[in-house]
Amino acid sequence: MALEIAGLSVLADGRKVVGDVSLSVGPGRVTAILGANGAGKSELVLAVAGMLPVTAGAVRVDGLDITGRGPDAIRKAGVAAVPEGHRVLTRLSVEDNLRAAGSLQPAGLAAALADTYALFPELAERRQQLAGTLSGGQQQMVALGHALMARPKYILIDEMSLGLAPLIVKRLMGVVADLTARNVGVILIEQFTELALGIADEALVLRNGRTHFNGTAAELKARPDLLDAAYLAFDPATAAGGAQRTREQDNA
Amino acid sequence: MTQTKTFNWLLYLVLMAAIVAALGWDKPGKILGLFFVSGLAVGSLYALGGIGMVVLYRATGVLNFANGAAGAAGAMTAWQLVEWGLWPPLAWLACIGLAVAILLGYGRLIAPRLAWREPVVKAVATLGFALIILGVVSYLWIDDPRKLSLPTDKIGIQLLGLRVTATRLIVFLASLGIVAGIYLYLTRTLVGLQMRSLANNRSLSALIGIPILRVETIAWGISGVIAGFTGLMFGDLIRLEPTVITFMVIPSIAAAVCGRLENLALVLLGGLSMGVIESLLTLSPVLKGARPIAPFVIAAIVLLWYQRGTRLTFDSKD
Amino acid sequence: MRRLFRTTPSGRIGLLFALFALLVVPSVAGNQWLNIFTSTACFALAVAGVAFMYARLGMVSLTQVGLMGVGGWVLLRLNHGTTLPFEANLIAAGAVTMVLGMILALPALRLRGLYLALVTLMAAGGIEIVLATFQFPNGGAGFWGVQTGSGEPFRRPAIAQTDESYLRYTLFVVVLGFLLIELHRRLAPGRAWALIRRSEAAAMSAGVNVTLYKTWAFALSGLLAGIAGGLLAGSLGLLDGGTFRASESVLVYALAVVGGANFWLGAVIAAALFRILPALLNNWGLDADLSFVIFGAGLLHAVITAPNGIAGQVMDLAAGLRARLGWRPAGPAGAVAGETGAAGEPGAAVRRFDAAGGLDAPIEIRDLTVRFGGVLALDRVEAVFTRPVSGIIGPNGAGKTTLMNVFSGFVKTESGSIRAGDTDLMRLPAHRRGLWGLRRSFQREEIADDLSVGQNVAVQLDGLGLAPGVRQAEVARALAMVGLAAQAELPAGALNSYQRRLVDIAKCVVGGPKIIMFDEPAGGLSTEETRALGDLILQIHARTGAMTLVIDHDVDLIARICEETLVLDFGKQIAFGRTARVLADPKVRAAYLGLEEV
Repeated sequence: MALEIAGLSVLADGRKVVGDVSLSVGPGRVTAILGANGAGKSELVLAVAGMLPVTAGAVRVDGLDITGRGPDAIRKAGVAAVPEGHRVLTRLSVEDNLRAAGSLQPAGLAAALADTYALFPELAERRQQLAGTLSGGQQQMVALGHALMARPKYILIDEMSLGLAPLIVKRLMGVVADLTARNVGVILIEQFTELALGIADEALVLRNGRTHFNGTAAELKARPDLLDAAYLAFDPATAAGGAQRTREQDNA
Repeated sequence: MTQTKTFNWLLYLVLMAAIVAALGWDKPGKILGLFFVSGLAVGSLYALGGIGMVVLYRATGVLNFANGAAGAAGAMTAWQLVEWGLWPPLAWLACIGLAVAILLGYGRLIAPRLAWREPVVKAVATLGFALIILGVVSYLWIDDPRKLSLPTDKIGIQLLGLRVTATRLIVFLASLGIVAGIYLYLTRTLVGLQMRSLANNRSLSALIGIPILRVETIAWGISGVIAGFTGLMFGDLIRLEPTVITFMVIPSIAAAVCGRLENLALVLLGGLSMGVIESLLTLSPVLKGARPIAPFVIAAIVLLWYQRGTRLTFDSKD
Repeated sequence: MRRLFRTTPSGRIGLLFALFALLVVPSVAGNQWLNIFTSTACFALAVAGVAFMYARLGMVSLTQVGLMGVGGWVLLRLNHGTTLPFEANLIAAGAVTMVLGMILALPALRLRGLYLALVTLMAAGGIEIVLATFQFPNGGAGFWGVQTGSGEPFRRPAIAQTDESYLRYTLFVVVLGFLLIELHRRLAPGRAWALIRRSEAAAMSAGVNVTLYKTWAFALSGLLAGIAGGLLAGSLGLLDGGTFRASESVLVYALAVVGGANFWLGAVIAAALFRILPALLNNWGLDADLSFVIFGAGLLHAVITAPNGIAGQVMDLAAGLRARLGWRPAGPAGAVAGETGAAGEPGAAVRRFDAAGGLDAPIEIRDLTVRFGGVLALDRVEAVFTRPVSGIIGPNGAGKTTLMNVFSGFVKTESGSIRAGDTDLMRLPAHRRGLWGLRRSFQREEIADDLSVGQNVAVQLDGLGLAPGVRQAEVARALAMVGLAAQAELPAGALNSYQRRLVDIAKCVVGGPKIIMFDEPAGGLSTEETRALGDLILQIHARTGAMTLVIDHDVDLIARICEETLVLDFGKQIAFGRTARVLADPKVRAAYLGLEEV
């Protein structure tokens, strides 16, 4: 029982943006993916959601292979992604946004809607408001709501706190905790590492589309030098290794 | 915001009144009324064509130049079936059915291969499809004066002292009805909601799990029904000739442009206004010749009016 | 100059075709066919006008046949009303439609894609109206006192009185028209168009006057349509309402795509399909309406699978045939072999370019504020870059690219100034800044695949008015500096992603740049490539005198090559100064690593 990503490679704009990345997340667990901008985190999320072509590797959800399926099939299989940048259907009302996202399973629509509103009472108050006129934080709630309407077993959240006020971020982190309490597995991509590592069980650090670290969150917290290397400081050992790897990739 | 809206409406009313007055000043009221009514009927056809195109464009991103051609194929088939002695209502159904089949075929077989191309490319491809249909239809039914008549042509209704044929009334009411119906469909049903979602943001809709192929198929079907009905009515009211019906797509586009390829009520208003102006132009000996091109000029003016100040762009392509 | 006169396979086939038509056809064809060939030639010219707009600029114009009608009308009227020679009337016809074309360009400056196509379609309808109200083509009170449509015979040019000689005459003019397009394609306008199609922003920052070149394209296309229409009118001697229909413009555009908009041959094929195919069908006793089916199927085929149309497929076939016969391909491979030795690196020593380049003054950013809606994208940024290479870093959404867009003039500022030496950048329009010496790269390389590597670089120099020799030397030097001298003649589409990045750098260093800005130059590159790129950037100041600003997420790169660094976060400047000191700043580490504020 897990969402497993095995040896995934992703192509975007004719360029290999993710190479041979593996990770998994179990029900009720949180895996954080960290790394500088352009490290391939967003592309990884989009590929798992079926929006970018996978060139190698597999995605399995509870043993079922969903690699290369359409986005709607992947949602139905229980995996929902929240893309970066609190994207909503701007010219639809909040309620229509949620209903559209839930239209895949019309039978459970009303229940899913009630559930989402229970989680985000702020949205219930604004159900008739156009989503384009919401604040960034509220839009992020709608975006999370899009995913929740599909009643996912696993959820991937890309840059949840990007551009949001600290108070909202705390609020959303609470929601993530709620989700894990309901046994939903969460893959969390965050630029605020401290925040992500505070809630994550496992962590993965990407650099140039490749795995730089894969282990427990506690381990990573104990070794800040690993993160520094991925974001900031110059680390000759990894640089040389990275070059080696990219050569191989070019030759392949 | 509301102030400019009111101003726009006022401007529109004043302009329309001025045009009607200028063209029909010295004509007896009855003549003016007759031309006005016939203009409304023609305008309804333009509007219907435009509505079908806008519904399809919003849901699929395809501006369908083959709309008129599908209607032409349907109308010619209906005429042929009646000639062969088929019970007319069945022939009318066959007309709509054929138009739906033609557009669905394109929507399922060809359109998906162009799904991620630019809007212009998608539109150009439908132009190719329109030419194929037109070629086949013109080949099957070589130039010959034909007449398609519906029983409603003979029923006259007295309205404000004018005799209006039931066909015209039906066309006018149908255009109102279809706008209302589609509005309700889009706002009240789940598939309608999915269509609005697609129109708003295609890639996000895909991501949140909207079954794009299914929704698009339905949109092609709806536009097929409208195209078939419009073709049939056009064949009855104006002319039963493949080329003429096929190129009805151009005033339809003009009507659609009036609604910014988006607002169905404005498409209807644009289509009706075009029809009326075009019909009233017949009254002027000087401008008579310019009649068929009136929709172009109106749409061009409307487009330039929309364009003032802001940029008109498509999606986020810019 | 040599490049100017080089023929392409398509050009050669086109020339052969024209020669064949010129010499053989008139002597063997019957009267009916003579007229069909003449009108084919006329339409080939008109199609060429539509095709180059579509292939070079990506703009769809659906007015062409309407403009032909105007050209025909003008010629006919002048011919009946004056005693001017035919040629003068033809030029007048072209001039009138050229002006109309420029008027059509006005909406094109604002509209793109589908709406532009629709506007041109409406314009075609409008032209029909005007012609109708002016009593086109016959009747009315005549023109300058002479009754049109009267029995008076139509005057053809003195050297082309018979149908046969008129066909030769037409072909000659058509070939001239084709050459005119080809000339444009190979000179500055062609380069500008290619860049505009790729990205208007990139074109503007390369110093291309987008308004001018778009209008120019419409004018050229209009000119060709007018001359084509005039020639056709001369052939018929009389026009009726059915000769030029607005709806045929749509067909002409469709056929341009079917034939292959990228090639001369495509225009000829399109015109042949348009005029000869229906006549052939008639001859074979088939309904000419069937030609629509062929057009339509061809269009669908072209749109879905054959972007270069029939001509493209013919070229591919020919190339395949040549390869099978063992002939040396005239393609890129041969060009490389020929050019490798030619462009050595004489200027490898440290030296500046000849053009008045370089900036011996700091770049001063004062009180810069940009607001998008309610969001502060840049909040009172202040920095003075004094070192040759400086960096700008910050997390996602920090405002780095916005700052670069302010430099380029793509973004309105609320307040603030950017001064470099005695120039206030904010006072210059976007494309002038390019000419002044501001260069930039974009996150995605803005390189036109259909131009050669050398041409891509040469675009930057087009507005500077350099002598051809100087320009060529500058381009060669820039390419030598980045190590692409051998690839100068290759089409840019043939390069790999790292080489494309190098072309971007060559575009920035060519000529006399004053400020160069790189937006994520190392994005997506391997560590080795990044290192090489960094070395290259470090050489820029010594070689060109330009100040360089680098935005990148790769802090290693910034730390290695930038002496000064500006750090932005949520539009606010959180640090500025010597790079080492900035990177050690706890505030910067907090912004990057998302640690709690210290």
